[in-house]
Amino acid sequence: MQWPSSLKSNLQWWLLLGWLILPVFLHNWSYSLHVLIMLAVWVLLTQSLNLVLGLAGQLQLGHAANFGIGAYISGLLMVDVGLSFWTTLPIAFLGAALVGTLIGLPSLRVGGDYLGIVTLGFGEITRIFLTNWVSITRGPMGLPGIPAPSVAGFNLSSKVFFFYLVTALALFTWFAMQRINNSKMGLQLLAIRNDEHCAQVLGVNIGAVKLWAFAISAAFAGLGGAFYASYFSFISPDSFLFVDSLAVLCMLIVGGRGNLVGSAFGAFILGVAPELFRFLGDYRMLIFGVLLTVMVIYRPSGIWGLDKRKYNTISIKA
Amino acid sequence: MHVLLETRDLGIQFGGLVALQGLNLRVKSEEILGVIGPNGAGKTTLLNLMTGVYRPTSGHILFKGNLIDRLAPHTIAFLGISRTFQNIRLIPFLSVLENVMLGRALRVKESPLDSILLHSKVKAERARWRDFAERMLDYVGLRNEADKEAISLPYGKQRAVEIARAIATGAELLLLDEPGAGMSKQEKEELMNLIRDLRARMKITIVLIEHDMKIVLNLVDRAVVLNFGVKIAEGPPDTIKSDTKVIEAYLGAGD
Repeated sequence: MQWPSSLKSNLQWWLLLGWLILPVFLHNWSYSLHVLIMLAVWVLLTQSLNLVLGLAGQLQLGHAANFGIGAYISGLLMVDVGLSFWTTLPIAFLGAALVGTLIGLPSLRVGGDYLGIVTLGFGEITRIFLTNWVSITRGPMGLPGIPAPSVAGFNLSSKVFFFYLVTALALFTWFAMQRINNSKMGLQLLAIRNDEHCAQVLGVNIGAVKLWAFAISAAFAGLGGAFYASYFSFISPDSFLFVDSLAVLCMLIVGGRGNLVGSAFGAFILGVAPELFRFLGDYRMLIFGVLLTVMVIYRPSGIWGLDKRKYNTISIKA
Repeated sequence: MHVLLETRDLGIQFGGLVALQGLNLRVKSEEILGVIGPNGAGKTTLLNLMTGVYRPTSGHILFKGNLIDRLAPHTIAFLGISRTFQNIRLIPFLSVLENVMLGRALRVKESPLDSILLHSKVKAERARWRDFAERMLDYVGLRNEADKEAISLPYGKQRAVEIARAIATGAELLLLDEPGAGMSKQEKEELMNLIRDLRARMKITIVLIEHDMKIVLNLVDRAVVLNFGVKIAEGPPDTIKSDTKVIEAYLGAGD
């Protein structure tokens, strides 16, 4: 089939437009909108994790902790200090970046599966920390009553508003990650992923570049966390578990590590499919397992992975 | 000719294994120095020491008169030492041009924030960056292959990309680890011309590890022979060729 060329070259804009007007066409409005909102959160998380896992090739199994840190920073500042949502966003961004850098520190010494174990440990430590620091976080009882964002005195707690807010945040993340993929750092990260020894004799400061990747990845996850806190108006340490980190990882593997379009696609498949196949109950998990196994055996680079990368996009000649 | 790189009593030990011992070596500016020796003599170890990947257990390395043996590999690369690998190590998923740009990246000023904002200063810097990489490809005659995946090229061209990437770092000293291995006769011919040109036009000093005696005898000004981590001979290639110690090292001692 021959696509009209104008449609093909503008496909991304048509898709975006379709996404933006999607709420108008939904059946079972509130529930469907919730699924779309969560889908955008997953997209944000895959886009941000991709930087560390897809480009730098560092097995980061604690991404949910970055998300949780952002959520708690924003939630606590809103509930206890009374700051507005918009003020807490940059603070959550920077706070998560700081924690992300800490999580990245072990990557200077260990790699591969071992780094996976260490980052998994960090994720668990974060959860235990949030659970036990009762005087600040209120521990396992969680943090209720997080207000919705307000604009000019209006409290915007409608789902439609949250839909457009999360769309903006996910697009911002996607945009920033796209820019970083096609940058000096993007090239250096791919070099680190494939051959650290070669990268360092070519002058790549692999420690610094890795830490930057961990920090930036965490910062954007923190933005997502801040949104999540405000959207649910309740968070607890159990909202950010290892299984969530694992879910993001699976999305990247199925969709295609190292490729932003593939990552988003993975988020779409594994984010929406569980809702579509709800009638299967717990057998859904079985299907995921099979899907993941099949992907890893037959298409380890993912549906739309690094092998579909476009060359020489880093700069159009001036 | 002044000394560009010098090793003083350089040695490294891995556990009980002495890989290199008491090595005194001078690489003069704009010379081609051959390093030869049987397998396991410590040639590649020497390159790993010079690029800072290994830390010496004794002795020192000086580059342009400064101690470099405690510096990180990326700092040494910045100072002007680069290398190619015995088994070509181009980065997969990157095009030919991107591999060479990666080599130049250490001289490019671009922070992550710059990358996201992509303001006009970054764009200008990138244009210069890309321009430079394209000139390097021109130099090795691979401009037309810029858009292909680097690891999809034939072997000889991959080697040329690797050399272009290494000199794109701005290196004054280039370490070549068996560049001729696995090449056809014609590819070797082209490689030798390239190496000669690197010295003549780019004024790059070259340390060449090579097994192929034809390449060594044709190219190098001086050769250093290593055996079991010790220097056993040094001098012009013609003298080396007839040195009894060298012949023994390669062929074993006669009665």
